[in-house]
Amino acid sequence: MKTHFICTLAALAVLAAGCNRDGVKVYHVENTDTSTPPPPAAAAPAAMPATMPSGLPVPDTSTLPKLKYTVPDGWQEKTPTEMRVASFGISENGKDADMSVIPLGGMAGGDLANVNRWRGQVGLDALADADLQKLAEKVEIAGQPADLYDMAGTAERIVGVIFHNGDATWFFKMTGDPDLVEKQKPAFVSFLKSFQFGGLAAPSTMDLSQLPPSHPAIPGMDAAAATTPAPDAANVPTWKIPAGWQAAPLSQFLVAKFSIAGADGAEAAVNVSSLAGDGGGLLPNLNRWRSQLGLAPNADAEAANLPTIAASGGKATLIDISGTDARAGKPARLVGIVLPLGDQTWFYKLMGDPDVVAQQKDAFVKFVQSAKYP
Amino acid sequence: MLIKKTVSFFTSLKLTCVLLAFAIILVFVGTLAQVDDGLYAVQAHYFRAIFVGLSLDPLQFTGITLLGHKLPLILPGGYLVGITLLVNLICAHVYRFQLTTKKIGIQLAHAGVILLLVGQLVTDMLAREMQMHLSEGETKNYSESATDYELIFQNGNEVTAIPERLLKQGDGLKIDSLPFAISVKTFWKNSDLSFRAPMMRNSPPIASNGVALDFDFIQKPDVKTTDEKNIPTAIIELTGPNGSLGDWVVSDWTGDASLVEAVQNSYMDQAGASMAHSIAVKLVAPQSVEIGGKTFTFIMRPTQVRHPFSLTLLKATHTVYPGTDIPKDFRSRVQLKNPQTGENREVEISMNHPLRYAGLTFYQYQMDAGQVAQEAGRVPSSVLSVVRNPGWLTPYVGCAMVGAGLLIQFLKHLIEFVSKRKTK
Repeated sequence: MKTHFICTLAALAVLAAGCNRDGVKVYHVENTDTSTPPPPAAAAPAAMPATMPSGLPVPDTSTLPKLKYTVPDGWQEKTPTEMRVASFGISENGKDADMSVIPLGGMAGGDLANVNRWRGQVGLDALADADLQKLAEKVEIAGQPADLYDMAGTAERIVGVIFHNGDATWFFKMTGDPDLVEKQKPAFVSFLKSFQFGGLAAPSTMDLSQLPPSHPAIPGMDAAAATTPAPDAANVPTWKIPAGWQAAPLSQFLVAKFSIAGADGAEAAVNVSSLAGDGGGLLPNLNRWRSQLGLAPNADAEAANLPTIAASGGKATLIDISGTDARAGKPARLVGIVLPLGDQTWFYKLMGDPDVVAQQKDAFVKFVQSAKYP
Repeated sequence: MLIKKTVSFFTSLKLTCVLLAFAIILVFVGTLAQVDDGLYAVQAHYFRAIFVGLSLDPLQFTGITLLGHKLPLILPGGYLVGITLLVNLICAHVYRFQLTTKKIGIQLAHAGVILLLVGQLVTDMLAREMQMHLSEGETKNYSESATDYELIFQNGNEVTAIPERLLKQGDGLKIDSLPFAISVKTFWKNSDLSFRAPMMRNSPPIASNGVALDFDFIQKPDVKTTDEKNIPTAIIELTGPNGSLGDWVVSDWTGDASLVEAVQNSYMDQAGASMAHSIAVKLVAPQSVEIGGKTFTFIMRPTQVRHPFSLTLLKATHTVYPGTDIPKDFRSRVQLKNPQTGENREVEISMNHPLRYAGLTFYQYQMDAGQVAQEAGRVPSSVLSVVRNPGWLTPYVGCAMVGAGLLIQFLKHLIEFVSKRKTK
């Protein structure tokens, strides 16, 4: 009896070890339960963290037009990565230093917090606000005055400049071996002097809803930042602007923007932007516009059947969709024209109140057809 | 003959010694391996395993990696050692059992050890630790896992939940409640995402629908430490009776409210509040597929366990000692409602004062309340650790039995010894 019990127990134990866990479950929830989390509330801007956020992505700016600057002798230009719009390595006698240019939106946490973050990196104590100005050395970036902070630790030295340009804050930072950084400081200052911003501004001024994906910066189109050079008229097409269209302030990367007022406060807007190449393709852009009106993405085949119009010697695709403005929550209609021309693609978008868009559609098409490209 | 040999093998004291020696080696090796592999991987590969150092592929030998060195070693895993030890103990107990008061202490101590081992096995198989995140005023009737994920399809109020472990790359799944087949084109245990910002040189989206049009996802190495977590992402293709319905990305990045908030906060510094919010809104935009007049919304999210009752967080209190930032007390006042029993009462959960209800224990785990949350403009919130452990009493009872058994045995010997001396 005992023997049998023991054998059975041994067999059961082997089975128990191979026992399986949960499988697919089907259950019912109350109708009010939704599977997706609600979008988080828009929060107030937080101060810049002590360390840059890691693991989370930043725009790849590798295709941006080159900023203008003179590279000092001995500086090796590196591919801009992650947040850096310009990056250099300096090596001499086995000593290394690194130089970076990083634009961030807004005040990026304030000068004191950033200087103290740098001081912490080289092992210096944090400064009080009153001491900050005493340590600032005056330098010049693109003809504008800026503050330079020189922080020497035992193993590392940082020479950094925080420059506020319009809505953006630019960080120029050279860090590395203390002797080498000291030696390269004059070259760093002359680099700053030679620096020209071109049309590049920090991401804060981007307006997501206006742009197709893959949109590169357009040189000279940053009307928001007062210190950037005036738009380069040579790169902007000329149009016959219909009556009732008002030129509106440009968002970053827009070539032109017009607002149109209708009856009873109804309004619509026209945006013009351009992209290198095919601008990411017609379908992603169509679907992005569709998403702005709360519409489900189209399948590939439908995109191919869109009507085309002749414009400026090319064939443009006409898109006309109606839905609900995802941001305003109001009914809206969008007429878009995508015109590939040479090595660029132009995006025209008329969007707003359905009645105003209906009235303006013909004028909009004529406007696109009237364009003369540089 | 064979039976006799089996019995003598399973009842032998030598087996006990060998198993205890293996247990010691296993704990030592497993502890060292945590340096390379992290706690969760070691738990799975060393302690919840039959063999260590042997791959699941037949005869595929992998060995053990310790502190960066690969050792050609195969060890019995925790399950094999534990279960054989249990069998050994029970067999010896049964085989040598004699109903006599002389041995009652020994019998009781053995029974206590058996109970401890059984209890541990029950805990390992059945215990589950979940979490319930509640903001003030929020009501929930489910808790979520901190480490496991599921892909769910919701049609109306019917939810089909597929555990992450079934989503193997290259696999096809056909589930009765869904009118389409799911094929897993890619599965990453851990992943990162980046917004397909207008400034970026975008490669084509990794899937042709939904969230992939606005975000790129990339594979990341699995995390090893307990304070990080893997964030799984998969590319799935759904196929209906008339062919493919398209492919989508499903990721915990879109289904976990705390991650969405982290993404939003990370862009806040780089891109400003309004753009960060637009990015977050795009991230949580629902993905769905329509087939046969039914709409199925789907998402990858932390595994949920539904409860027949609900908790509402009424107030989260975080008090500090006056004049300092040192926490004095964390306290969550919750409303417990159970429509099945008609219960509707307020309960206070604080450190060391958990709520025990319906086989679950709710411990106060984390809190974002008090002055810090107030100054940052956040709604006070509380995280409760929800533990289901049917074997929670076994360690207490087991230890008491072992203690009592040993006490009886010692006292008996002492009395015998003292009375022998007296008779001399």
